[in-house]
Amino acid sequence: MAQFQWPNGRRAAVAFTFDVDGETVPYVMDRERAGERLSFMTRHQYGPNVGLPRILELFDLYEIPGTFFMPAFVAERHPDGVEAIVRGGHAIGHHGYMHESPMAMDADYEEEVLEKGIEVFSRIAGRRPIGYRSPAWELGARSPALLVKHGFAYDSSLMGDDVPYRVEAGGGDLIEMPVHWISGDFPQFGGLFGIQSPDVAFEIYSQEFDGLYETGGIWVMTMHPFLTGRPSRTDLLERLIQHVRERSRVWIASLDEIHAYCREAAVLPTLKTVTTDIPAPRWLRPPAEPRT
Amino acid sequence: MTVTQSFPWPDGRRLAASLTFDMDGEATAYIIDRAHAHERLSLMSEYAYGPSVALPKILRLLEEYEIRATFFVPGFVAELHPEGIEAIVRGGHELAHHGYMHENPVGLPEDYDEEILLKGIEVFERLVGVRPVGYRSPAAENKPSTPALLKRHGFRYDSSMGGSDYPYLVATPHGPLVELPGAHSDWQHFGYSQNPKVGTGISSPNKVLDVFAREFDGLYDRGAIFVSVHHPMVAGRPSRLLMLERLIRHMRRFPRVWWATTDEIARHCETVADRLATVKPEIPAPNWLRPPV
Repeated sequence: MAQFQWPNGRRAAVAFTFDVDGETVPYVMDRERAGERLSFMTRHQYGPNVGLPRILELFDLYEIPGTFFMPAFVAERHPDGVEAIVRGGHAIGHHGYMHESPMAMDADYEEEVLEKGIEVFSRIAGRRPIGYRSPAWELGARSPALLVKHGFAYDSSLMGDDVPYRVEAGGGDLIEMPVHWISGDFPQFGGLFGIQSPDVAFEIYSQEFDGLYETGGIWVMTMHPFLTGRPSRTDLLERLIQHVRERSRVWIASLDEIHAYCREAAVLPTLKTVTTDIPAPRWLRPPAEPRT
Repeated sequence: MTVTQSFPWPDGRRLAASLTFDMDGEATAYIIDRAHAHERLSLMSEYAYGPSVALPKILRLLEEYEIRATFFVPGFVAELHPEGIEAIVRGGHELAHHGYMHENPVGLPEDYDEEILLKGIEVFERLVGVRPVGYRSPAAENKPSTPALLKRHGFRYDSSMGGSDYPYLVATPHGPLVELPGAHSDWQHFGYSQNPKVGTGISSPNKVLDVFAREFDGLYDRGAIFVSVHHPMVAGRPSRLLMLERLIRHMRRFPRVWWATTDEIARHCETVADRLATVKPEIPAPNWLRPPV
């Protein structure tokens, strides 16, 4: 099998992607009381209202084709934001309806959410999304088959390699655009583990790109407008774009574009293929009560 | 920097250094979420990266710098990745015991400990004809009974405990077990999970390099042993691989370092056993002045 290569002598690929979670995350984090917590909600509405236009402006300046995963509930509330993304030539991907984790749904519910998102984007964006990113990066073993069934062509929720790979499922396949916690703004700025300084975050992100550049991988940055859209972090994103631009032969592209390349007849057979089989545990004895 | 020769390393070496890798792989998913990991594709992909993608990169880096390392591998992970185990052995590295399903020994009955120990040995013998002589307990959680169990089953050394900057001996009814204390582990800096919440966040490789390198420097100055602990699923991610190379380059600047596997170091310790401190694997009982409220 020939080695996976990027097109036209490119040495590595970079995708700047955003999850525009908007109003959904407060309900995910505090279902009971989010409807009463105005201050909390405003901090998340900042994403589509303030962060998104700022990021689109930055992408326009640097001519970056971005990728925006959006829960369909947010698209319904911000059709102007969806239109701006489409006008800017960026890709749009499915990201649930109310940002539902696949692991928190049964198969029927999971399918209903997929269908709802396809319907919303077909209507508002004029085309259905071909890519999917699981909210919370929690793809279930059954999820890829459902995605294939509903016409999705790629996913961006797994962490299994440094380059795109192929997931066989449901009689078809998905191209996987791998992600990782390292290359995301939530672990650094989301507040779950404190809040990082932008300078230190720059070290973390830029060095991961440096490593991927050296080995010819794909660097997928996963960001959120409510976090990276804040002034200091938009400046950080600009520094990252400049850092990537310094290097020769980098292909900065949307995941839709990278997907199209991976599907080319000469390229597809060079991708590593995995199944959705998860190795079962082999406990030598039945588990005792967990230690606290 | 003046070096006090505190430990009898061979050939005037001033420090023994061993890079060790705990390749926990897919077993990690079952530690993080025993009940649901078998359905969580994203979670499992993160940990499968260790043996399938990180390991070849790490082996290439070690080969480039001509370093032989020690890989502590749970038997379950070895069974899932026999080609990875073969590559470790072919590269001249040491294979050492690390449980079967990465079971934390604390709270487990001693006959279960023995069953796990024997299973791990059987896996390595079956896959590559190697009988491990080194052990690191999963979660580095030895019990007072662990050293005697290891010695009874032919282990030469353990590397799960602290308590000293130098190798020492642990007394058992079957003879002394060499202990090679670990200096530092990368897991607390890079191990990350949101669901459940695990760890302290993701650190910058610059900070982590500083932590490892300054500890190396301090141990070198004291003529001690430097055993670093790396987990391929995090250590083999691109930025961390660059960091590992930076650490290796830092260590290579120092004169008269003995780069060795932990078994080679343990064998040497046996030849100078009379110069090592001996401890008993006992835990002092507490003496509360009052019952807890």
